[in-house]
Amino acid sequence: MWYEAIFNGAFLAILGAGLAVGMSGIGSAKGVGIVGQAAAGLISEEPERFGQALILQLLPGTQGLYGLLVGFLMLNKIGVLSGHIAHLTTMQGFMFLACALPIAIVGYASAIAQGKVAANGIGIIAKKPAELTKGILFSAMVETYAVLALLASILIMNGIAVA
Amino acid sequence: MAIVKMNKFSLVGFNNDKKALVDLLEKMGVVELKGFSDTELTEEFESLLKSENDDDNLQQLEQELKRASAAVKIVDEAAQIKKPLFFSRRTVSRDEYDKQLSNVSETKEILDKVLAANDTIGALTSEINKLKSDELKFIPWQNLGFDISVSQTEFSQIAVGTISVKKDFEQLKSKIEGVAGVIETVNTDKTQRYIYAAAHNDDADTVFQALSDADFSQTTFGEYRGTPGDILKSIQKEKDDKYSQIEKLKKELAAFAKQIHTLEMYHDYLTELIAKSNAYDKFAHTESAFLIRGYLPSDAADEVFKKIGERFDVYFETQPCGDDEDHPILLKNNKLVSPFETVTETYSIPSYQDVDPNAVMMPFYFLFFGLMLSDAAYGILLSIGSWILLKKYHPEGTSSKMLKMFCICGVSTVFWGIMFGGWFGDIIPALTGVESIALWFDPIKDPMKLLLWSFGFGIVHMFAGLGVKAYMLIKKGKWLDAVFDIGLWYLLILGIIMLLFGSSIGEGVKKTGLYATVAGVVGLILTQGRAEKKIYMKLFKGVASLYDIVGYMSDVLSYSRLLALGLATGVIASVMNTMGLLGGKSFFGMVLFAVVFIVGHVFNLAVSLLSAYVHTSRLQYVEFFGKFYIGGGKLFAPVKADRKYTRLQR
Repeated sequence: MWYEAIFNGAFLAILGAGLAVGMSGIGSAKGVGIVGQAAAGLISEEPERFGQALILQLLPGTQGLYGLLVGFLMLNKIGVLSGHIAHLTTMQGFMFLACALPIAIVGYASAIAQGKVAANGIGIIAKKPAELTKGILFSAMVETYAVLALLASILIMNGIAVA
Repeated sequence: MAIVKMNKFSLVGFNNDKKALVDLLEKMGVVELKGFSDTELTEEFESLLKSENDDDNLQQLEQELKRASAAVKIVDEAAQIKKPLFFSRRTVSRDEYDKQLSNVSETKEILDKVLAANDTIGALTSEINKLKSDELKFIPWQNLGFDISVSQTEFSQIAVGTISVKKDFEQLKSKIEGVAGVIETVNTDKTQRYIYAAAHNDDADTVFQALSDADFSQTTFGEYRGTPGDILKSIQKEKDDKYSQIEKLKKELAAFAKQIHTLEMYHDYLTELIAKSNAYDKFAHTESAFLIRGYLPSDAADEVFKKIGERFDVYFETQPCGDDEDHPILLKNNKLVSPFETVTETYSIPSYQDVDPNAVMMPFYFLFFGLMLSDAAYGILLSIGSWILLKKYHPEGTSSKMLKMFCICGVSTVFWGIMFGGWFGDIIPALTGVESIALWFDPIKDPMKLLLWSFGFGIVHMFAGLGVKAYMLIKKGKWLDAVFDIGLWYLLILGIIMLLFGSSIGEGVKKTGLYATVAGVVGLILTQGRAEKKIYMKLFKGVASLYDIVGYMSDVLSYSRLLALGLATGVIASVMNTMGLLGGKSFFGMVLFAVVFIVGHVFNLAVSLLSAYVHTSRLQYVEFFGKFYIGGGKLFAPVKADRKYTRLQR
């Protein structure tokens, strides 16, 4: 029956990996997009600032990487990558799903928030290019919470025992 | 190895020597002048005047500087001179510089020529644009066989123009059947029908009435004469002519590439004049004498005043700045530490009350950066890459410091990479099937262990920050403050750690921890309210200070990023390797592996490098500097031209 598939442990774990990669990926795409729009405006006036603008645009992209990281570790742990998927109970499946949530949720929201800060950082390099690092650091303050969420996800995963 | 000791000075001399003195100061470049405020001049030094207002001259110089910098850019572009990745200035001997600038009139001529040629190019370009838009207007009419400027002859009237394609043209034609007139189509496009109409004077009204019923709009061609075909040809010719003029001018501009160094030197010479003009502004003077004051590094004082004394009749007084006296900041550190000054300078310049934090910060920056990047192969690439860039481009200023810093931090990255077994992620185990090549342990398999170590490094880092604070207090003679505000916190934090983890070593350790914790808590409650007057306020403040423990806790937790970012580098590298190896051992698989390996690791190195730089800086700024740093100082700014293109040899 279809509901048996939904409560299948392996399915739940893979769903978790998908959420980790997907949600943080959407967040990063939005964040990078916000900065990209601001950067394109600047580049039309000052093309030589491209390198600096690109660094700022890159910043909200890390959440997507953190999500991929958690997803990869999870798939590795349940054996999807090696082709021998471990037998997981429904409980274990839900644990993996829960373990994906910190990076999925915080990754999504923080990437967008970080994108907004970085987009304003584009204003800094338009007026005072020498102060780029300060713009980067403001943006990195937001990322702290994505790092903490990543850590939580990894630690939870580390604690789930798989036979 | 710290903030350089400064002398303050004041100096009186004769106005005749003013120019020569400023020239000398600019050449030495180690003396900062401090101007006089208007109130000081009127109230304290009643008879002194501010230096004559030089604003007009300064404005002219700045205008000329703008022209010179525009000219350099124009010639650069025209001659397509390639810009290196990192700009470094050309080294010029003093003689060459002086010789070149003894006669600037020739350079000024070149400057005028370059800018004039550029203006002409601009004018020609806009003329070409106008011709292009005219051309577009004529193209639909190119099949019209008569002179478009003729609108009437002795017996007839002629009009050209457009009607909408939606109008029924046949109906229009039928309206003028039987009268002495014609309406013919020349051309049609998506929206308009291009037509001409001719009519005998007697029937002109009928024909033109029919046209205006069809919403005919007449087209006028301004000053052009002749058939559209001929006009198009002449426009084309005119355009070609102007294009070739532009080409010629551009070649002329490119030929100025030979004189680019002259232009650059002239640019820098103007910068020098501006620096001097700004220096004059800081003089105060009477009719025949002047007074200046300012700062210079104490080491240089003797030599500087000897040189001045040899050449000019001056009277001066100088003495070291006091400890609690605001003075400009110059940092001096050894070769290993000075590249890390950029990190501090990005945050804030130390104030005169600070100690230079760079020497204490550097080892931690080195350690943390390596932990976050933690891949031996990346470290080697980073160190060698920045070293090559340094050798090849000889960058200056901040970019030079940054590259040196990355070069040094690469060593730490290699160290941690070896400890954790990271070489391009897991490429060696993935290819050979070896379990792990970590010298210490693999953080992916045992993240908790590295997490605890990260907290440990963090506590040491924070203690170092508190230690600097204690040092600053002791230097001011506030021994008790150092013991109460820092010593007690050391006691409490160490006590808590021993209480929590001491049992694994022995019960005695745990017991000592308990005593230390209690002593710390009691001590803090008793001392932290000592500034208050009332006894209950003292007690309340003391108890409230314990809340700071939350702050210390969150600071320690912040160091978990050492683990998280280290893992991120390693795991993403492994993802790249796994993707690369998907193709198997066939030829196609090898090609896929090579492509994915190179692209993937370059990407990962770039992203991880940025993360490591940013997050290591954050740990320094928030967790470390937050403990003691005041900042907000002013960088030492001597009278010295900030030359953009040339570096003068001493």
